[in-house]
Amino acid sequence: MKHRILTVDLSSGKHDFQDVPLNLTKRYLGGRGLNAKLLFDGTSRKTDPLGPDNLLVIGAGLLTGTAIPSSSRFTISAKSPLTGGLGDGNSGGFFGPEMRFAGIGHIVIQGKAEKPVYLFMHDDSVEIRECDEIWGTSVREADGMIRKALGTDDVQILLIGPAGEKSSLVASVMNNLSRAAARGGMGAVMGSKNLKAVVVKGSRGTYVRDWGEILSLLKEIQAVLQADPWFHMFSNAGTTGLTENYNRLGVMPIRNFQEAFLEEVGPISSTEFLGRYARKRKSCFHCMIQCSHYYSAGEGDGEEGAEYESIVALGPRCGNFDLKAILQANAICNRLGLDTIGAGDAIGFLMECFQRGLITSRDADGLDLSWGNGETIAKLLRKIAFREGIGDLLADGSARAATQIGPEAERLAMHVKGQAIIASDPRGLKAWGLGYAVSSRGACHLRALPTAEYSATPEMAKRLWGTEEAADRFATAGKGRLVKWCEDVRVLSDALGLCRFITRTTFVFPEQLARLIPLVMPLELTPGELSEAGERINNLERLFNVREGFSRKNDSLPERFLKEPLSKGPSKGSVVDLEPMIDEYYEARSWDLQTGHPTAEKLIDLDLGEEMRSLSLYKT
Amino acid sequence: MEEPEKSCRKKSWMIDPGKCTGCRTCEVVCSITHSGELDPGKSRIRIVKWEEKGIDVPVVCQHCDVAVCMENCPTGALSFDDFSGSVLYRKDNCIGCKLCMLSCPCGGISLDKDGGVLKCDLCQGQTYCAQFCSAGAIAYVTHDQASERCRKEAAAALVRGAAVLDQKGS
Repeated sequence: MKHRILTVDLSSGKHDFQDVPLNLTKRYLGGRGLNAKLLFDGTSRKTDPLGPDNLLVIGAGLLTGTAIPSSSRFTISAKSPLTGGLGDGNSGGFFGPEMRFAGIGHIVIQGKAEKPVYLFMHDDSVEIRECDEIWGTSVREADGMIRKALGTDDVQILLIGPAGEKSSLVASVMNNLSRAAARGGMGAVMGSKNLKAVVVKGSRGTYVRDWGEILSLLKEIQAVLQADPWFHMFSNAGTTGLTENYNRLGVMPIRNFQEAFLEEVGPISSTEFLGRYARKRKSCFHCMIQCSHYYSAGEGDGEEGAEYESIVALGPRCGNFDLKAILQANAICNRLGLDTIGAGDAIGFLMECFQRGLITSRDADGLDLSWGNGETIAKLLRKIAFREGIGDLLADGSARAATQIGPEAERLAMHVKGQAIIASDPRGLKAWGLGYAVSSRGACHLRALPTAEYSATPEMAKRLWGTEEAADRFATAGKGRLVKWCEDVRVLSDALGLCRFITRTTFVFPEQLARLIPLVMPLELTPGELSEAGERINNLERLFNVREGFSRKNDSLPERFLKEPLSKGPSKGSVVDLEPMIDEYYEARSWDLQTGHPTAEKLIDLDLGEEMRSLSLYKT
Repeated sequence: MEEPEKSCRKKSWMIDPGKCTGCRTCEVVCSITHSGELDPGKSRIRIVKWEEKGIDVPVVCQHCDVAVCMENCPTGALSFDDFSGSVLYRKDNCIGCKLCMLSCPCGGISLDKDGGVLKCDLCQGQTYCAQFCSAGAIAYVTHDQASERCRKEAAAALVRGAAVLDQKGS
């Protein structure tokens, strides 16, 4: 089984294949992990995120495209134009496995093409093809045009829409039409390289030690899933089922996080979605959970989704409770290549600025900016993607828009490090708040995904994180250790290419994950080696951000979460007490309490001495 | 439990594109059990998709009673196996003329990159693709079950149609 790094220089048109050295595989696995290493080595503090020197790294997880189920995930990484630090977006679908079938683990794209191009890889063949006629088209149009030009549907395509072409910092990279590697502005980086699409076709197999073992494993996982209530929710409703769950906790953001609880969630619930709009379940590659759906809300039958995050970002966060309008807005984002979270957040932010008189309709091309206007939301999404009028202001996310509107507006921008907060209010989920603050890619729930905060038993919390309070979502104690622990296991699924929904509750522990590797590759890693790799990756990402000038002061949350208690619902009266959690987290990580920088001892302990010494900060 | 020879002879595929989620686990289990590695290009069953329209269709040899592929095969590489009730392929006899693939009305035969063709052999009655289809879109069932299911689905469609007519007041 080939496991290669393909480097393509769009400026010179040259490319090169290299086998991944075994020591890199052991240290960083693949996916997000090896991406971080390639990015750390290949960029510097001087690298302009939207300049030709930045790298766009597309990494299949170590297990992506193998016979291990739910192994479809891949990560796109670059120095983020949104945060200025390490950025990445992760996606499922079928692109990652196809890379693996072509014998490619990672694609490193550097330079900038003179004219719009797309990359076409078929096993050992790599072509850069000009595509003037495709530039400017939507994701759907471009996907169809590329298939037609290649004369086959039997390829997997990763591509940007107009938003990425215009270097919107909330631009996604799309694959399988409706799946997005949405976060961190990866679409903008791709657009800055004049790269419309990356197309792959593979015709190689991946290793299986013994097929009987795989069939047994599939049966075993099926049985474990059947016993897990979350599996049934995800399998039936996908993440739309979280709408009811998070509203029940009083943490579903409404009107730009002014509230977090709806008395009546019915109109935007999973029941409404499944009953009225979903047509058929839809799955990523080789998955038993099959959480997605094809849905139709008047824009055709082939729209995929919808996700809780997208529904809330384009719905309640903008005061919009019309599910049909939300689903249509989701389709617009998919077609134009926008991060539903980043774009929805920017619109919710603008609407609150309007509510507070910081901006007028005249400033916004005459649009009615009152809460919940679905037509306005649809128009704003188009304006963002094409950078027209007020859209140009919003196209770089709420944090940057706020700096142009004024200090009053800056308090209303719900972001960490420039990246929009996701749809869980940390005032009712304290560990999530800490997770957003310390995440290497800015406000992100998936780095830590500390679901244990509301699902673990007190006994488990005491055993793993030192206090029963770690399993109390309103408590502060234990959250630093919980988030550290979660980050170090969650990163393994990103590096291995497994979906969060199978590693969420089923394959959480390194002992379970280590067992999977030798079944599908001639490689054995101990649970200890896996754990260390997880911690190493998180520390290298931190070191990347330290190099870019980040420190403790950047590990913050919007003032609203720290000072404004929620006014109603099950999380009423609560705010986030962030600093004690950060202290505990740094201590758990052996990071300096004042600066938030990893200590030299820790870095050397994790075999990151060489990387550390490349920073002048550690030379004294 | 029925004797394998009887149960196989009286079984057929029930494939429901309306349930297929396009995950391609069928391709995974088919290729690993037949070629020892995961390679969709080696799978005897393939999922055909029109993503822009939201359509996924499992395509596989139907083991027709009157097998056009077999009739067109000039070398006897395809033959009817009375024991399993399946149309079986023997690579030794194959000259690579591709007439079987071209004449199959079901799209059930593909070219093998290592020469010859790929065609479902029912896994000696195991039909792993059906066993591991999480969506319940692929089943290999007795003729009685197949007929009953088709009958019921058609009847349900008739009733639904009648209900729609009722609502419209016709």
